[in-house]
Amino acid sequence: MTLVLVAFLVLLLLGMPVAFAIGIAGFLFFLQQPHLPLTMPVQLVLSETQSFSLLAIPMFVFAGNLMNATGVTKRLVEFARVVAGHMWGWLGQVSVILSTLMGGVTGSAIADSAMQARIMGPEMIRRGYSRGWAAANFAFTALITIAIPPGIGLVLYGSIGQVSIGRLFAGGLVPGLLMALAYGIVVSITARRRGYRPERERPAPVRDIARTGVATIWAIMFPILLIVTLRSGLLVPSEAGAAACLYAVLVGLLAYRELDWERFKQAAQSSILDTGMIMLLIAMSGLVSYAMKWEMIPQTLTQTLIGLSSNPLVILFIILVFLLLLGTVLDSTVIILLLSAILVPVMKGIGVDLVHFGVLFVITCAVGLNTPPVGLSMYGVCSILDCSVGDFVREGWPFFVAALCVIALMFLFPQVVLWLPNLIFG
Amino acid sequence: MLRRVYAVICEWEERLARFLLTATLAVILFAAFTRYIGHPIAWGMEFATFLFAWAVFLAADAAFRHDRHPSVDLFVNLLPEKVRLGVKLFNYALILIFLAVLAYHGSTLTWTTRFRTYSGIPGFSYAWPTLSVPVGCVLLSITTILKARETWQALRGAGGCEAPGDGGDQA
Amino acid sequence: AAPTYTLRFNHVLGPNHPYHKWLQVWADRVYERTNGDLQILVFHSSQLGVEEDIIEQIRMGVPVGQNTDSARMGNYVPEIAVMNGPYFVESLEEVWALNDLPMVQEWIDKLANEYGIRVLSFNWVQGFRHFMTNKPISKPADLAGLKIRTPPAPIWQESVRALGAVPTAMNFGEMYTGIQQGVVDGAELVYDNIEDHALHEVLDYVNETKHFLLINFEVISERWFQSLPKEYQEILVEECNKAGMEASYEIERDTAAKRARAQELGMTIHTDIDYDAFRKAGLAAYERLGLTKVREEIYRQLGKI
Ligand code: NA
Ligand code: NA
Repeated sequence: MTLVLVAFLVLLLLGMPVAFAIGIAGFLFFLQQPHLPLTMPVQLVLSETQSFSLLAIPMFVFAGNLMNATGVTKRLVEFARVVAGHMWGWLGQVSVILSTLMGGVTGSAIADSAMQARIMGPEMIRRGYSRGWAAANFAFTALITIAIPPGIGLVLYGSIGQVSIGRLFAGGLVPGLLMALAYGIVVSITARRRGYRPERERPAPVRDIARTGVATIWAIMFPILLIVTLRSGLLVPSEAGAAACLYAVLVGLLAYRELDWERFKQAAQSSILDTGMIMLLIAMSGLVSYAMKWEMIPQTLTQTLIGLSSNPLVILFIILVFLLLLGTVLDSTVIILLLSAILVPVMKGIGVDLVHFGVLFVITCAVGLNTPPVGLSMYGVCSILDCSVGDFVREGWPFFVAALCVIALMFLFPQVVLWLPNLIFG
Repeated sequence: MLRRVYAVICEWEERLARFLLTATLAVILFAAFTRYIGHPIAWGMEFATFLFAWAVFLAADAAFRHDRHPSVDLFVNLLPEKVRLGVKLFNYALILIFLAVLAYHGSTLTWTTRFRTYSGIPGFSYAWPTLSVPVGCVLLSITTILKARETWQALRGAGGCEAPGDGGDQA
Repeated sequence: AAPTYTLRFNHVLGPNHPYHKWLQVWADRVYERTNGDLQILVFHSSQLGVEEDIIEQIRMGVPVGQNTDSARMGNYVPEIAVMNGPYFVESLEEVWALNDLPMVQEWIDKLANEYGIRVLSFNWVQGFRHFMTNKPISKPADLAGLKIRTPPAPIWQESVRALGAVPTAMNFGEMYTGIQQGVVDGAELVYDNIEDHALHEVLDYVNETKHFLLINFEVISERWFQSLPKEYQEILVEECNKAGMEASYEIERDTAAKRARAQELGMTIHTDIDYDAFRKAGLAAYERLGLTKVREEIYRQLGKI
């Protein structure tokens, strides 16, 4: 296993495409195991594409590209400019709001960040925002979708740990909104420093907002309609992306009449390139995840760490730091799957509320989606915006700090998580 | 001649990938619709993932050809041009071996897995989605060879008498 | 010394399900009886991967195992699916009796010889499955139009359809939100699933239809099995059968407690069920899948008809 990690880091530094670096490193594990046939890596790579829930990623990416092709994006941005144009870094603020809304539809940060990088990325770059800042903005604000219900991470934790999923969902809402607030502040501060200027002196008068709202109604209805169809039981989360595509096509054909065959083809072309890139990365990283599962490495490490202290706060702190580190190499869903059953009894034993811990756990693991060496969300937006990982890290650290601050708040004040579930469920 | 054949293959590969992604979308919508009218189909989820597997492995090659697979270039950018091209060539060689091995074992698996069916689509062998991996690996191998050849030519150019420029590298 | 043989055993259930405990008991007993030479590591919640993938690996000879069902085994030997039909067996003793039937033994041999899948035991019974919904269900007609989350395999789909509901394929992981939002109207599950998946938060009624007695199969690789010393093979099978029976009896014994627990969690237990009507309706599933003859033959060998 050491060989696998070393090989991965070396290949990564040699500039090999990440998907191949992680695939080759993972393959080495199978070479070391006489019991495991080499047909297995093929099966595992394929298996990563066979999850219906994961189809949210290509569908939201496709939806983003279709929105660009049909004129929905243009109008969405126009409306946002009227409403938020008086703010510093207003496109960044729009991305915060849109992710908060999308949180009610999907729980996939990869899907949300890729979609928004597609629809708002070009606009940001055109207006002089730097690629690294834009990429970090999309990748980190997408973490909001994980906290705001629904989300598969909380369901998985709740099922394995026998914790009320209703309470977990309610518990995620306030931290999700806090994250939105924190990112809003980061955007506001960094935009001033970088000179991402407002485009108008003061907020637009209500009349202007209303007029633009009416003119762009089909575009701004997009997130709202998605939430409504999902909540009213027409769709499961993985179907919402497909519905978003259909909506974009219908609006493009019937309302804006900007969609033709050529544009549809371009949207599809752009979507397969995005999907091929993201999915190969996910498929290949399945090999390293499997090696870790087979050897039970996360479980063993956790058992060791738990023994380090008897002070509940210290244990919780150590675990959170460990989860942050683990999140840099393993996908958050895998971590939740492997560690929930070990951590739940420990938390119960030291008197940490399980809803509090669950929300903390799921959000903490997800931060790793945006950190090297294996940040799936990060690589996705970097490829879409053609930005280097170095720039992402250099310009994205304030967003990372904001995420840590929210986690610290949740750690220090359990009420941040528990207030709403206690209010609803007593 | 060979170049023309390859261009046609690329064109059809991307055309097929676009079709498959659109078909995946259509199947998801159709499945949701049949459920809405009270006659849900049982094969929707699995058929969608079948189409998607093929879309992914064809698209992965298209993305490679268009230089879309992200890499970390912090370290290699510090190297002199010639060494950097050498490292790149080494990477392509490793990738090629990896893909060849994966394609070989993928073909084996396609054969041995033929009895397995999708549980919701009786009679539809799991060999069909499995085949997408070796096919994708072969296509990726061709792309790798072409990229390696390009790098090799650039390396020879950089090694010659001409002034060491930063041209030739498109990554 | 380190064990010579290690088997990694995967199941889809949570760590609190009785199966997890009893699979561990099986592992411990095997470890002891082989003086630590044969070790079994049990993985819950499908940590090792998707059930179908694991079964493929088993066929490749990988030292892994899986707790599975007859619907999946039916992909290889179609007749086995009959054991997943509505009201196929109605007591644990009938399940034990299945072990001795020549016809069942033939299926098991075929799985081993033709497909490389070794069934260690099918004495693992999760108990009765019931329809869980938001309205009381007494007879098949009450299920009309209700979308019930059902695994996509034909035997599940046809059985649920025959019993009157609209079978709707959906990932297990999406079940909670699916029910909460009304994408489906309910599920058909055993008592142990309720708390494991917090379903009491989104469902009101357990209708004790008892339409399946869910029989599970513990399967491993035939090739790996044959690589073990004869003595270890016997220990593995013997202990698996034994632990399975103990697990099944325990689950049966605890039914009352689990029913009480479901009530405590706010669910209503509906027991006014027209079993004759459900049994009669269920026959259509066997008919549609061409399993009527197989069912009759089994019943003849069991002495039921
Ligand atoms: Na965003
Ligand atoms: Na969400």
